[in-house]
Formats: sequence, C-alpha cells, structure tokens
Amino acid sequence: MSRRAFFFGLLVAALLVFSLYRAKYGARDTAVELMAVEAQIEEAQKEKAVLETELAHMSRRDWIEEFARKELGMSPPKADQIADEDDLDDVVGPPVDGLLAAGDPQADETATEAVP
Amino acid sequence: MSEASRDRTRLAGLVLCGLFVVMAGRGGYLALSGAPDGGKSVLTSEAAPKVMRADIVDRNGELLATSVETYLLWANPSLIWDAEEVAIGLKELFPELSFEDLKRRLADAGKKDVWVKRGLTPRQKAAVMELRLEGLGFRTETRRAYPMGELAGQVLGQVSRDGEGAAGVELTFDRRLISGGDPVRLTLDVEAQAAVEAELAAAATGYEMDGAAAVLMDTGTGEVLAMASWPAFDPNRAFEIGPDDPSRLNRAIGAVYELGSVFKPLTVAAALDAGVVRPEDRFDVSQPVMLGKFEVTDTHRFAATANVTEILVESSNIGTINVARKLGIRRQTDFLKKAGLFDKSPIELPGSEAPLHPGHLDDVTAATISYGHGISVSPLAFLSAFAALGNGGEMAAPTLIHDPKRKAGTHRLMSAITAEIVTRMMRESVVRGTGQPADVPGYRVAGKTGTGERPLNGGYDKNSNISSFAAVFPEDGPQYALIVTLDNPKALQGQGATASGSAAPVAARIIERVAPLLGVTPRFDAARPARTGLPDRTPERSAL
Repeated sequence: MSRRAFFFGLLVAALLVFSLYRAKYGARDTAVELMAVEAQIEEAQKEKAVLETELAHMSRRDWIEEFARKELGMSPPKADQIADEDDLDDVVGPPVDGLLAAGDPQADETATEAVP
Repeated sequence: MSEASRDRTRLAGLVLCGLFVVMAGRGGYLALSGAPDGGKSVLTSEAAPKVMRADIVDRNGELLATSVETYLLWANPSLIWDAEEVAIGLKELFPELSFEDLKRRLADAGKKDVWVKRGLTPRQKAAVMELRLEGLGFRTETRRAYPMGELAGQVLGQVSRDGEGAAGVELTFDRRLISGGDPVRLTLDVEAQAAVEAELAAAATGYEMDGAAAVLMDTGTGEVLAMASWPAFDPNRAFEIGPDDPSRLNRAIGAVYELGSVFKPLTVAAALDAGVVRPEDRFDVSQPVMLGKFEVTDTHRFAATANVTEILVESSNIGTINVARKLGIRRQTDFLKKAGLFDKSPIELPGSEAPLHPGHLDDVTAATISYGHGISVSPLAFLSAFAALGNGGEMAAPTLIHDPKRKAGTHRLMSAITAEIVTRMMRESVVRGTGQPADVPGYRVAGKTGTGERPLNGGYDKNSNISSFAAVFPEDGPQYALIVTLDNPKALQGQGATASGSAAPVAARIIERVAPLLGVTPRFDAARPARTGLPDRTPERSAL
C-alpha cells in the first residue's frame, strides 16, 4: 500500500516538475515571439515615420504649386473667382434649363435609351 | 519478509523520498525563479526604448520637423573581392554617387571602414541588401528632418550635432522636444506660410533687395499664421551654412528697422484716443517743420491745410508732427510703452531683438518718432501693436504656440471707436492715397505705407531705404494683420523707390493669395470686376 502511494507521489512530482518546465520554457518562447513581434512593430513604426516624412516632403507647397502651374495651367484663385452661393446668379447668370436637365439622372437615362 | 529485506525496503524508500524531496524542491525553485538563462533575453526586450525628439507640426498637424532613423552604408574593402562589381551595384541604386571615386575607395584593401552614403531609408537599405554584395554594412543613425525644406526655416531653427536645440523653436522648446511625446503644435499655417515665402522670394528677384520679412497675424488671438524672412534658410543644410550667413537671420524678429510712416496711424490713434484731436480738425501742412537745424518736409505738397484723414491718406510728415505736438510727449511716451514698442517682442523664439529708441523723448525725438523715424523696432513688435487697430483696440500678445485652451493675453491700447476710425482712414489711404498699390479688389485692405532710411556710419544712406506696408483686412471686420518689410529694394522702371512702389504691391499679392486660404470672403461694393456671364473654364483661369 505504502509502496503504491510512494510511486503515485513520485509520478505526481514528476508530472509537476515536467509541467513546470513546460510552462517556464513555454513562457520564454512566448516572450521571444513577443520580442520578435515588438521588433516588427518598431521597424514598422520607423518605416511609417520615414514614409510620413517623405509624404510631407512630396507635399511641399512650392513643389505642388510649380507642378500645378506648369503641368495643369493652374494658379491661385483671384477674388473674382470666389463667390457666395447668394452671389452665383450675378457671377454666372441665372440657371439654364438645358444644363440642369443634363445633370438630371433621369434625363441621362432617357438620353441613353434613345441611342440606337 | 525477513528483517534484512525490510531494512532494504526502508532504505530504498528513504532514498526515493530524498529524491522526491530534491525533485520537488527543484521543481518549486524553477517555478518560482527565473529561466535557466537568467531571463536575459526577456530583459533585453524590456530595455528602455530610445526616446526620439518630438515632432513639430503646423496648426493643422502638417509635419514640419521630425526625427527619423536612417542608415549609414559603409564598406570594408578588405572583404571586397571585386570592387568594380560592388561600385556598379551601388551606382545603380544611388546615381548621385561618383562611380570612379567609389571604385577607388572600395579597392583600397588597406582600409576596413569606408563611408559610402548616409541617410538611407529602410527601403533603400533593403534594396542594398538584395544586391547581396560583399563587404557592406549598416549603422543606424537618428536624424532630424525638415520635410518642408526651407518653409519656416528660421522659425523652426535647427539642432546641434548632438541633437540638442540650437536655434528657433528647436531651441526654445528643447526640453519638451527632447523628452519625446506629443508634437509641438505651432500657430503657423503651411499654406499661408508658403504663399508669403513665395511672394517674398519673387519680390527679392524683382526688387533686388538685401533682405525682407513678412508676418501674418490673427488680430484677435495674436497667433502668428506666417512668419517669413528672406533669404530663406533650409535647416536640412544647417551644417553646410556658415554661422554668419544672412539666411540664418530671422528678420521678422531678429532685426530692427526704422519703419517710417507705418507709425503714423499709431500716432493718430493715440491723439484721437486722448481726445486732443478730432478727425475733422485741420492742420497747416504748407510749411516745413524745423526740428533743431533739420527741416522736415513732405514728399509732395498736396494742400495748405489738411484734416487728420487727409494727413494719413497723403502720408504727411508735417501734419503728423502737428498731431503729435497736440498729443504731447508724456502721452506719446505712455502710448508707445503700452504698445510694447520700447520692449522686444515677447514671442516664443530666441533672438527677439530689442528696439533702438532714445529712451527719454524730447521735442525732436517725439516729432520724428511720430512718423516712424528715430525708433527702430522689429516687424513683429510693430505688427503686434498695429494689429490692435484690427481688434477693436485690444492688443494681443504674439504667439507661435497653438493651444485651443489658451486665452489671448490682451490689453486695451485704444478705444474700439478710435480703432475703427483709424482703420477707416487707412482704408482711405489704400483707396485713394499712398497705399493704392496694396488694394486687392474684394478683400477691403486697410493699410499704410512706410519708407524709412537706412542707417549708415552714424547718419543715413540717402540712396537706399527700408520699405514697409502694414495692413489689417478685411476693413469691415478685420481678422488679420500683415506687415511686409523690404530691406533696400531697388526701384522698378517707372516707379519710385518708396514703399508705395515696392512693399505695397508685395503686400497686395500676399493678401490676394492668403485671404482665400484663411476663408475671407471677397465682397464687392459695385459690380464684380470684369467677370460676368459664364465662368471662364480655360485652364489658365482655373483655381488651385
């Protein structure tokens, strides 16, 4: 009886120690994985910072303005190109029926159907 | 069971019990102690991360200064078998490198550490690694980068080689920046800043001037939306630029000038506010004024007598001296002190220059200061006082730090009615006076020109000047104040060498560009100029 109890205790102790080892080394492996992930995050953050810097550099107003002026023929707006909604009639004239119809989806549909 | 057999069993049981105790103890020890390696690997991951210097951004979060980790590419020639192959590979990635120089240096087998290129991005580093070339290595470096280049260069300043703030915002907020954390948010608006800098640079070419400054400020809060100084300074190239290079000087705060007639609205405001003159009061402007042995005249004779509005519109020195004499030296001194014009500007930047003034005013200095001579102030210090005209007489302390919770540090410089009257006078000056070239249809500019002489060997240089234009806009509810100061602009063909022909048109171009960015709605008293019917849709007329 005492011998069986002894071997049972021995087995429990062995399982306990083995579990402890597994838990300990499992935790260490997880910590290593965590470190790897943290390193990846850090690397990604560094790259993000560089990309944001490059984006800001590419967004330089002088560069954009020069590009817009040369390639697109654009320039900063003049005061007479800016109007309140209330002033639109004075600036562009009253609404034109034909133009409104052209912007109407139903009118577009009709026009499409009419095409043979 | 015999006695001997029982003893053996007991002995074995004791041994096994001992082993059990040892194993259980060891198990407990392992469970409660660190890993067999002492947990060194875990400790490594918990090592304190390197703190990066915090970013600097504009009022809308646009990146102005940041810290990035870059890589230094180096080579060990003693490990390189074929220097030409390595040089060809690197030249393909970095065309700016000199192939011959690189090949020669990589072939020098006596060396073990040859610097190839700094500032590589992670992608460039990966590209180099993909080449699988022999004898190359990388070192990580932290670099302060200013992605907008010259934009607001003097305001941002620079860091030293040790990464400490050495000038500008980098110096003022060094402790905050160095501790990492949230970015320092400035009041600058990159759109407005870029527009102001572009116009100053264009003016520099047109007027062949020695230098220039411009400041755009919110009159209500004192927030500086743009602060530009020409020649421009690129903080990315700070270590290549000499310590005395003119581009390092922020002329908006670090230089003081005799700004000339832009002072007249302040003199008139002080006199009106003191109740010693009324707008309709008339003064004799027909005769020069003698100040000791010096004679003060007007640039042009326009009438025998003039009221206060006409004095301002025609920029009469004689009339302004007469107004100042009504004001009196004591009240004039008090007003100038209250306006902060005897102190350096309290802006959060190093290098704010103290004004040059006589200290104690007498008849002569009081008279000359009334029209902006005999006192030298920085453009920002002047604009802070001038902006009160566009803020109901309240003067807001200038600031570069954007803080929505901040309450503007204001004090009353003059009554609201005085501010309104003088602003209206300045509008007249722009509509029909010396400020006409600053008029921008739709944006109702109210401003004043100022032409000051440049000091030379204890006297004044008659052949050069400081041209300024100070303005608030829109006149019917001013929100913004602007000053443009040009140092020694040359006269354009057909124009005089005064502020009317230089600083005023530059200010007009700046206002025309920044007003839409700031949300100022153009308003036209009469019909819109030359634009009726359908809008012109040619690309040249399209807006950005």
